[in-house]
Amino acid sequence: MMKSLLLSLSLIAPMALADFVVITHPSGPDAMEKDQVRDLYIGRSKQLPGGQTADPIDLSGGNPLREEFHTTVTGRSQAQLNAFWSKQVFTGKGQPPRSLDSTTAVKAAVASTPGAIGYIEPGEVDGSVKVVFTP
Amino acid sequence: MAQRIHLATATMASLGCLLLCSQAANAQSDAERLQQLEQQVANLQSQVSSTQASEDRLRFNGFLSLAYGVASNDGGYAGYTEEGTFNNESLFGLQGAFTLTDNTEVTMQLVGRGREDWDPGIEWAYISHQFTPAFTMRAGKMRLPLFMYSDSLEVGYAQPWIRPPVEVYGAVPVTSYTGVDGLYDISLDNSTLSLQGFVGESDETISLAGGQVARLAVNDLVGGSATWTDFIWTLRANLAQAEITTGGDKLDTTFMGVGFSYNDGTWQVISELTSLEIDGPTADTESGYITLARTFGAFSPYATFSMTESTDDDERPLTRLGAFAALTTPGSPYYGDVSVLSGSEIANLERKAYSLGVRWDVMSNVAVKFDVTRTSDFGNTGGGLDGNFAPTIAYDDADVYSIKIDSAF
Repeated sequence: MMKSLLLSLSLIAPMALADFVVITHPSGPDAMEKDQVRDLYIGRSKQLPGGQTADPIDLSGGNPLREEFHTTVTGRSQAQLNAFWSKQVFTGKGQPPRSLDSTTAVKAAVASTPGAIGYIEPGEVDGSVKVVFTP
Repeated sequence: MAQRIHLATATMASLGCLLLCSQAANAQSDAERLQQLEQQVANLQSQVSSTQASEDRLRFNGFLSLAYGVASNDGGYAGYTEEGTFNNESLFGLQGAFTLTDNTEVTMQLVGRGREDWDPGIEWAYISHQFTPAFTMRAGKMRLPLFMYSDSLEVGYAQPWIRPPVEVYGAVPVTSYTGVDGLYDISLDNSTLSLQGFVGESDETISLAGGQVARLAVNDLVGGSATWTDFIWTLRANLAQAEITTGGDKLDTTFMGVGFSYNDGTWQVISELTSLEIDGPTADTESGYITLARTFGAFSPYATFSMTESTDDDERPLTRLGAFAALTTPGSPYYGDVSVLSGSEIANLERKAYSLGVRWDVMSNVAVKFDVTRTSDFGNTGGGLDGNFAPTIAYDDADVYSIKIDSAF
């Protein structure tokens, strides 16, 4: 009983998470690897493939899509990310990416800023942005 | 000002568009109109936030730790005795970073510690300049980068433990220096190699075992470190040399350390091995620790084993009793001179410690930690405990129980 409950939970849980796609300004690269996206969001790389200065944009804390993105791309929970950034900030090594409250705001910012990279729900994609990574 | 005007123009343009768009949209469905409005608001939002970002020349961050600990005896291990205290490991930090140009920044960090009556002191004060995306130089007062967690030594929120293992991190009483460093990042295929070189000096009052204080001057400090990381694995090696002076003698000192860490988001392993060699009878030590931690949601239990030992005991033939006799006998050449103790077998050191603890991420940017540490296996030595800085050894182990709230903001 317990086992089948756990099994069904484990099947349901991933489905319940929202999907995301990583987008850039239309002038961005055609495609990116997961590690290239990760390196931008942990401040280890500052440039998009192709050399454009990157402007990574995160969703604000508490957004389920943010958790899904980081679980998949950086492999860190929100608490681990916070600990990571406090280490970077207090050692002068960098600041976390700026964050916006909604995917609508992220899409608008990415569409209007060369070098910007963000993530939104797949259904929101249109010609104003370019999809560079799909998990 | 130019930015404000720009923002105002942009806002008016967008508002104008909002009006026009809504007029033109009479024939459109409500849903479409709503979508357009949402897009307009989003555009405005992103304009506002990017303007804020460029005006964001001064940034403040802080951290706060509140700790309570109590030990099974008065040996003083990790600063705790039978009488519990909040002051020993509670502290706050306030950091301000001012951007001068795109590539130049001034950073200051004030730290106030409970054990120093919360008097804030400057822990960092430096100017940094990024010459190329890969090369940065800094000048001023900075952390002495001897250990993997040196830079974030007091930022408990950034650490898995309640405190960095005392056996390793307690071996060097100096934690900052004044000087210049250079940081060079080499991007490899999917990983980064960071090289750091530094020169400088320091001169501060340090606490010694037995409640003594001494002036410790560090001159001709030169060192470097190499850190390789692919975000999951981190490997680090470093070396530093200096001439240190306590009292009269100038002593050549060499510090070496190697460390690695692994963090896949679930499992975390951290280990460091360090060696400190000081000329003359002042104790040379070798120390190390290994920590294993696993994350279960908000809980990350950890276990640590650490050890330290002195390696030049044959350079200190003077016995414990002999040293105290020389210190306290009027007419002795060492009468009243506590430095005779650090050249005697009192400075011999052997100690192991076992910690079990848990980090609980209660809410965003706040972690509560519980820890039990047992130290023992002092051999024939006093284990470096303050309470054993006496003619006879009174303590041959200690248990420390502590709880700590760490936050960063």
